Parts: sequence; C-alpha cells; structure tokens
Amino acid sequence: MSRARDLSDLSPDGSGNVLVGGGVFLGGTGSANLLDDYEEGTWTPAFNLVTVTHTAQYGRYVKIGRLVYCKARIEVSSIDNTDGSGIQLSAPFTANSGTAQGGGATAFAYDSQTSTLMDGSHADVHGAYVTGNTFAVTNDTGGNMSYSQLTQTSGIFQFAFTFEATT
Amino acid sequence: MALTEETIQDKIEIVGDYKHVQVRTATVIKRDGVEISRSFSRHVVAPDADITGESAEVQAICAAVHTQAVKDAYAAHLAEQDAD
Repeated sequence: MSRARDLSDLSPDGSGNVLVGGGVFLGGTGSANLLDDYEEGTWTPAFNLVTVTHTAQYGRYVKIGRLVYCKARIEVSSIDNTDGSGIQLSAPFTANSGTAQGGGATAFAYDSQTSTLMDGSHADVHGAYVTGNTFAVTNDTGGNMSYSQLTQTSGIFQFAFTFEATT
Repeated sequence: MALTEETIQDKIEIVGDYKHVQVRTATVIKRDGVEISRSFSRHVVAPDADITGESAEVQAICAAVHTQAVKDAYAAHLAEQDAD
C-alpha cells in the first residue's frame, strides 16, 4: 500500500496551503482527469420579469472543475403573476448546454417559508435547466413554468441547482 | 495599521456559442498594503443584455463580440428554447 505524501512543506507562506497554478490530474493523465478550477463566491440572482420588485437577492455558488452548484434566495414585494412568460433568473456562469452536451438539466427546489408561492405548497421540486446564463423552471407538462402559475404576488423564493459550465 | 478595500474585475471571459461575457469581480482587503482577504462575485452578460451599467472594459468587449449575427443567433436559440 502506498503512503500519502504530506505536501504541506510546499506551502509558500507556511500556512499549509498549497498553490497550484495549473491543475491536478486525478486518476489518470488525460484531459478528462484534470481538475483545474475551484472557486466560491456570490452573485445577484434576478428574475427576468420587468414587472417585479426585488427586495432582497442573495446568491452563492461553488464551482469545482466544470460543476457549478448554486443556491439563491430572492424576496419580492410584488411580481406579476398574470405574465405568461417562463420563470427565469440569471446564473453566475454560462452553461455547457448545447445539443451535443446533452442539455443543461438540473434540479430545482424552493421553500417559501412564510407564504405559499408557485403551486400553493411551501416546498416543491421541479425540473429545470440552464441554457446560456439563464436558469429556467419547467412544469409538470414538459413546458416552461410561467409566472402566471404563481399563486401569490409576493414572498420568498429559494433555489438550489447544479449544472455544467462551459469551462 | 491601515485596512483598505478595493474592488476589481479580475477575470473577464468570453464563453460559449453565443459569446457570453463572464465577469468576476474581486473584493480585496489589504492590511498595510498586504492582501489578507479576497472574495468573488460573478455575473454574466448575455448578447441581449442591457450593458449600460457595465464597466467601460466590459462594454467594449461586448461591443466587439456581440455582433448582430451573434445577437440574431442567440435570439433564435432562445426562441427555440421557448418552443420546447
């Protein structure tokens, strides 16, 4: 059995942290084995609707290689729930969502906590996808869920979704 | 001891078929000129986005890569998505 080598002596500032300017090959030397990015940060998620008043927008992401995990909380004081356009919001990265990449399938969940939104429940899971930098929610009949399917005009949305980024 | 904070756009990338412009903004905290913290915030500028609020550098990049052909292709792509 091989013994793991302690790399902490490679730390330039003695903190124990190792800086790798490029990437690390894991389990092989092919390009598919290269892990070359890790990043945490924030973004400001916003609904694409013109007639919406955002009162709070929080978004955090973790990117590991191409894999992007996002969670967001959006509070609205008013939203046009007569608008028939699809529910969409901005994402912090561009998805690798071309036909050859198998689409941008992802998962969507929310917990409205203090009010009932969407289909009237407090928590739900829907299909969703990310195309370009747009996160979109699908409904039970295979189309995009629209703002007109919301049951209330104010409240809290919470999302969690995962997708593959272009780089 | 002096603490300073500066915000810089430290990474601007052009990605994908429709030339989305990914912008990373870093908030850097320094103590006596030595960086002690760096956090990131992200946003993406799509070909059909309003860029009036973007930095001059991002606006210039968008003007260069978001040609009418790219905008038309992106609009067609969005229409196709809506039709699905």
